[in-house]
Amino acid sequence: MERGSARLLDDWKNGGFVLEERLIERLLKSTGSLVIDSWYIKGQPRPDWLHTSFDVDGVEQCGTVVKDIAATLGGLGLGRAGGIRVFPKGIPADVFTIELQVGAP
Amino acid sequence: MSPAGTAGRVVGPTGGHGILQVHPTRRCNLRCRHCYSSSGPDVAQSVPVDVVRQVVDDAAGLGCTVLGVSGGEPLLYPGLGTVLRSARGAGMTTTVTTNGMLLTPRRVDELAGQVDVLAISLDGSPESHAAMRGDPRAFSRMAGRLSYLAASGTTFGFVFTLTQRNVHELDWVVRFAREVGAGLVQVHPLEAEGYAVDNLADDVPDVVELAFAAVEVLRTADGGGPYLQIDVASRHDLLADPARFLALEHAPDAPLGTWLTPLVLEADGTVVPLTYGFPRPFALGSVHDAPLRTLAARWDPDPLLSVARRTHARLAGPQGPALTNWYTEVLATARARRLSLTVA
Ligand code: SF4
Repeated sequence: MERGSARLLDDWKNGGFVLEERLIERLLKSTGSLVIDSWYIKGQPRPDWLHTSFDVDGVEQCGTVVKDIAATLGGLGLGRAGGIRVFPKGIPADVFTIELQVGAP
Repeated sequence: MSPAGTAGRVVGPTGGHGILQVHPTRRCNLRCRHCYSSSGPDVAQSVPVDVVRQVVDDAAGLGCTVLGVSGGEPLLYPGLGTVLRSARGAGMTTTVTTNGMLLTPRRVDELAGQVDVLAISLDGSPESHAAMRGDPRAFSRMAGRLSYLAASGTTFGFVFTLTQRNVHELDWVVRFAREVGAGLVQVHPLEAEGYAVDNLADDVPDVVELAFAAVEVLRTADGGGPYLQIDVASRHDLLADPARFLALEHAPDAPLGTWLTPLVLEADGTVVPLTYGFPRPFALGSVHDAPLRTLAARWDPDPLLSVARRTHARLAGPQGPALTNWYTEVLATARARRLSLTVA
């Protein structure tokens, strides 16, 4: 039987968002203190797809970051925070990789 | 259940609140697949109301400030109103945990002013709830009671049992709670107790599901409510405040109810520490033999403190999990210890 978290990740992935420049600015701000593994922004002149990933230590920091991102998305009227994927690394899950994807690839 | 925490909080044991958890009856209109008290329509075991009332008075004298009534189905216990009134009279905050199906307008009116928080079990979407509860009407009956309850002004919330398979339904539960005006969603990890031992042994959530639930609680919380709370402890909590997890050499020089919490009265009259089903060698005793205040005065805390210290050392060590259901863990240590005592 599938884990609940596998279904949850799918729900997040399929959340669906529209990408705007001000969203990117705010996201860069809310993740500014983190080591970003990768940023890809596609689309010229208006970006229409963003993908980023970064690691955070511990569930508390993970929760705070996800909450910040969700608030940013919510504050921009983009609905719920689909497109955020969280991968726990290792057992016990002490490090989380957060992947954020906004817009269709 | 515990009283409401801060929005989106991950909480551990109930430090700060002395809770008396009472299971006055195991009679229930349902027989849920995950019922830790093995309750059901044909289970008659219950504690007479005069005895429960005395337990409540004694618990207040021991420093307990919160009475939580669960079951069985508390609405099937004829003395519920009397017990709640006693607790309120003794200055306690009261909570009742129910499956919600029997919350008729008359019962809601009776409970008004006697219950601070009414906690209703909700296990996910209507289909999931009905499947877990073993009754296709379990959701619709309960949901049909909510508008009158909300209008009554009694604060109510939902208790969501987290399994290995259902964290993705938490979002639905939170949105439903918001829609119907609930003030609280409490996420409680499934425990392999009672009927769950046979029905759901593989469904106790592991650390990954606990972590996702914690993230989901934080993600879905917003300023407007409901309050969200998840009953797990983080390693950070365990390291920061060992006393909260009873990792103590000696019992505190304070009334029992202020540090040993919850105290749990089971439907057979036994009072156990911390959680339903705690092994009998650690129990305070039976209120059919002596009043709670006498049992408390006679009780030797050392075996339990030894179990708590071992549990804490295991969980807070370098190999310990990031998140844990401390009650399940301390119960497991106690069972292993009882076994080793029996074998020796
Ligand atoms: S879980 Fe609650 S509603 Fe279900 S059988 Fe047990 S006491 Fe009754």
